[in-house]
Order: sequence, then C-alpha cells, then structure tokens
Amino acid sequence: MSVAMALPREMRPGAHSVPAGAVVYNDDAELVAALHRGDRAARTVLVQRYEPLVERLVAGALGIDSEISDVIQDVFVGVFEGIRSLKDASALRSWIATLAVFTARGKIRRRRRWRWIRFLAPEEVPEVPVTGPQGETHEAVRATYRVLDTLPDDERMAFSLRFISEMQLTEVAAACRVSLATVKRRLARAERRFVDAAKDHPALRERLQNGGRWGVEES
Amino acid sequence: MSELENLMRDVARTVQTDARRRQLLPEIQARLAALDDKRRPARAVWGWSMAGAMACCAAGIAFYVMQVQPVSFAVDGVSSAGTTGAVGQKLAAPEASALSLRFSDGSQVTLPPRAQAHVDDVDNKGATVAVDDGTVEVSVVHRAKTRWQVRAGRYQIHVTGTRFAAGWDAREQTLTVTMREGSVIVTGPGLKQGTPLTSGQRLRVNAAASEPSAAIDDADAPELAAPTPAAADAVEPAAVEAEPAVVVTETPTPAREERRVGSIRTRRAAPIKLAQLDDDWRAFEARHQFKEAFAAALNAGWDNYCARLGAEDLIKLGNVARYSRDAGHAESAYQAARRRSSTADQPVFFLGRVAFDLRKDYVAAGNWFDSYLKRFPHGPLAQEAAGLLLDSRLKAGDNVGARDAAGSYLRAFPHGPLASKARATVGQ
Repeated sequence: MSVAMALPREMRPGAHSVPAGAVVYNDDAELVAALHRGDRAARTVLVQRYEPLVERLVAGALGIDSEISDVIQDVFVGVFEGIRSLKDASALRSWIATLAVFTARGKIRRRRRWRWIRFLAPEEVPEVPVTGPQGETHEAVRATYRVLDTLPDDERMAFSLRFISEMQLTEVAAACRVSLATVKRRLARAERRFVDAAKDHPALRERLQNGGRWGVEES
Repeated sequence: MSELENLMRDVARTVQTDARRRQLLPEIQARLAALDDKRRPARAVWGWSMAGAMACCAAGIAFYVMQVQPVSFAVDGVSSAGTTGAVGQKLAAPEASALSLRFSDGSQVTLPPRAQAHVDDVDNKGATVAVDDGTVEVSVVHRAKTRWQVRAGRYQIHVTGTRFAAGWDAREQTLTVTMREGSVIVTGPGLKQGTPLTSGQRLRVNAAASEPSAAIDDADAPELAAPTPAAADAVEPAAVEAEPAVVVTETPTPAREERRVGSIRTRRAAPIKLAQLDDDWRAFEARHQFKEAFAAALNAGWDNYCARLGAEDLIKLGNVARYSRDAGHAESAYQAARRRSSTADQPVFFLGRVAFDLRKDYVAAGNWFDSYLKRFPHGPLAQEAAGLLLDSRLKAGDNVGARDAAGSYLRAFPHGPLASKARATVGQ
C-alpha cells in the first residue's frame, strides 16, 4: 500500500525560516486556542517553539541516544492528542514538560524490562552505535549514564532534570507531578547513590575526587 | 560550584550539543506530518466497528514488527499536485517549473526545469533515484537504518542523512555532486573504492573518456567544465597509467591543505559559509560563533524569529545579539522571550545585563536586577543579580539604593564574592 504524502509547505524538512506574512501566535493562549480549532499551522509553531525544551529534557534523561528523535516525536504526538484536555493555556509549557518527562521515563522503563527479559546486566547490553563526542568528555558522559541506569527511575528522572536539564526544583516537582518535598527526598537519595556508584567508574572518580559537597573521597 | 555540578554541566552540554548537531527538528516535523496524514483516513472509519479497529491495530502492529512496508512517494508538479508516484515511471520537469518527489520517510528530491529522473527502487529503508539528465536537489532524512542511493549513469551516490545536488549530463556523460550538508560516498568508474564527500565539497567526474577523470573542489568555487583527461595529464601526468586520470581544480585560498582519497587528490573543504547553512544561526551558536550566528539570524529575518521561536531559543538569540554587542536586537529577543514565558527568569536578568554592559544605563539596569530578585528570589541567577544590583546602584550614584542593595545582598549571600564590597557600602 502506498501512502501519498501531503506535507504542508511549512512542515517540510529544512523549513526553518518563516516567510513574511506567516501566521504568528504572540503567546501560548493564542497558540492553544488555534490548536483547539485544529489549525495545522499552529501545530508547526508549537513544534518549533517547544522542540528545544523537549529536546533538552529528553536528551538529559536519555543521554546520547539514537532513539531521541523517536521519543521526542512520541512527546509531540501525545501533545497533539491531549491538547483538547488542556484548559489553562498558561500551563502549556509545564504540561509539555510533564509529557516529556513521562515519555522519557517510559522509554527508560521499557529498556529496563527488556534487559531483565534478556538476563543482561546494563553493561552487557550492546550499545547502539551513534556518532558522538570522543575522548575524556565522552567517557564521562557514558559513565554518567551507566550510573544513572542503576538508579530507580523516579530518582534518575529527578536527578537528570535537576542537574543535567538544569531545571529549578519547583519545575522538577511540577514536571514529575510530585510535591517539592518529594523531589528533594528523591534528589538526596539519587545524589548519594550516584556518588557511591561513581567510585567504580574511573572517568567519574577522577572528576569528582577534588571534594566539595558531592566529592568522592579517595579510599 | 562542586565538582559534580561541573561534571553535570559538561554532561548537559555534551548531550544537548549532540542532539542539536543531529538537527532533529526537520525530521520530527516531517514524521509528525506523515503520521497525521496516515491517521486521517483511520479517523473516518473509526465509528464503523470495534472489530474493524482491532483489525487495523493488529495490521499496524504487524506492519511495525515486520517493517516490510516500503517508502512511497508523491509527485508534486504544476498539473500533478500530490499524485502518487510509481517506481520506474519517467519523470520530466516541464520547461518552466520544477517537480518535487516527496517520500513518506520525509526525504525529498526536486527536479528543476527540464531535469529528468525516475525512481528505480523503493524498500522499507529508503529508495534509489536515478538521474537521467539534469541536476536534482536531494534532501534525505536520516534514520537509524536509512539506505538511500542516487544513481547517475554508472555512478552511485550512497546517502544516509544529508542534502546535496546530483547532476548528470547525459550528452557529455559528466557527473556533478555538490554537497550542502552531511556526507555521501560516490562509487563508479574512476572512483576507486568509493569517494567520500563532505559538506562544502563538489565532485565532478567526466565519464565520457575511456579513462574517466574526477575532481573535488569547494562547492562554492566557480562552476567549471568537468575535467578532461588532457587536463589531467597536464596537472599530474604520472597518475594516468593504471589509475583513472585525476585533476584538482582549486580556487586560490590561503593555507590550503591537501590529502589523498584513493587515487584522487582533494583539498579540505573551506570553512562552512553562511549560505551553506541556510542561514541557520543555531549551527553557529552551537559552535560559539556568535557574530556569525547574529549575521545569519539577521539575514534570515530577526523579527520572524522573534515572532515564532520558543522562549529558550529566544534567549539564545538574545545572547547571540548581546555577545555581538547589539543592544537593540538583544532586547527585542529577550522581550519576546518574556512574552512567551512569564516564568522564565533569564530574560529579565539579561535585559539588565544589556542595560548594564551595553547601554551603560545603570538606573535601568538596577531596575531590571531588582525586578529579577523580586520575581525570582531563589532563581539560579539570584546571587549574580544581587551583586549587579549593588553595582548598578553604585554606578548610578544612588547611595541610598546602594545601601539597601548591599544589605539585601549580605542577608541573602553573606559569603558571596561581593560580601566585602557590600559591607563597605553598608558602613558608608
């Protein structure tokens, strides 16, 4: 079966710049209203406007990963499917952030289940080949996500949102749909677990042995 | 800042740069659009029966599991808007207009006027497009298992995700491949073991002679006729024995660097230029080339960006202008970011920086930093804002305001870097 594509011009690949006279939505209220009307141009604007946010959250949660674009796509599919349930346009940003967090966490959980099914330890799972940075930084990044793989999902998400995606505590709480106190507890536990596990990774141990609040003490 | 916080900053920068480098936005937009088009007919039959829907789901699952559905394509032209294309069908663009082939994986091939091509083959990983005559523009969306080829005469261009132009002159038997983004590998007569091409390079091959000749130069070098074996002899006579003849055409640029690719001598591509990036300021910004990013954004339409981008991109856009010391454009981007997201703290802070650093308007700067501290008392830039508020009040000659700012600073950050200055101000 063949599918004839009918991409609107503004959604074709590479269509970054906007022609003069294009539809403009000055704020999220206008944008959400247009989305409720089913305006396709509004969908394009929403993706352009919020893709960096979603990318930052998803990339922070998953690291260098060949499936990031799939996860981001899933987030926006969820946004478009659920937009009618969004009544308060001012909550659009935090709502999208929540969807991104839950979608990324779902991805992490599915992977964990697959590992369990295959009886493989995380370090035995073959890595998806992706081109990325090389050298010490790359080693540190890989080690960081290996350590994060060992954390419980909720703690991992709180940790990556706070320290990698650099969200504020209140934003993390809102995105995870938990109280500020719960986020603080999760972060405290995640920090302890991370520092403990980091001792087993030379690339992290070297970076952290200078001390400080989270510094790894040399044994 | 602790070592772990430093490490996390590096991790954040690395993973976000990686994601940005892969330019996910066009791919995601195309896939969402494709998904939408596929869903529309499904919505129309939704009410028929639950059993029908279940069957559709099963078929869909089977489709994704088996992954056997080949990509398909539609042909857009003056008289054939959106008609489904067929493999093997000869496609010729009219005298005065172009023809576009839009593939279901988001890739696109454009035939300019008078160009001729056909789709040779399609499968679930991509397609093979044969250029019969003329130069076609190719834009392939990268996926994990993309397998795209463009064929021109006896030459094959192996593609992953990239943009380039492939030209085939059937009469002269010459191939031209001009890279816009990404990389390809070209194979065929005269190209031993495949010739890799990267962004900014242009390959020209003359296949008419008994010993085909090839040359690689900058994509923005002036168009020249494809090299001839005679020209090759003149440049490198020793190369014409067992190997195909080779010639290098170069435009005079400083600090040229040559390398060898198989039997072909090439020159490293010149630094990427503005036009090659389609005015994409993000690419420059990611490389911390702020002046180039600023020029690219101006070129592409600053006001459009301010009207369309999200808050995070607008802040980056404002930073690009601020680092280029253009206060007006920086302010317009930051103000747009404020309108977009009332909870974003950075635009307020950076508006203060513009007033302080660029406009030297210390009263206005103080007002911005004061506003930041009132709205985001525990914001990530609160300490810097408190310090700059103190500096702004002092520079504006507002001694009373400076003492207030110093007192506030000491209460919030008693061990901050400006604590001694604040104490001195309070003690005055």
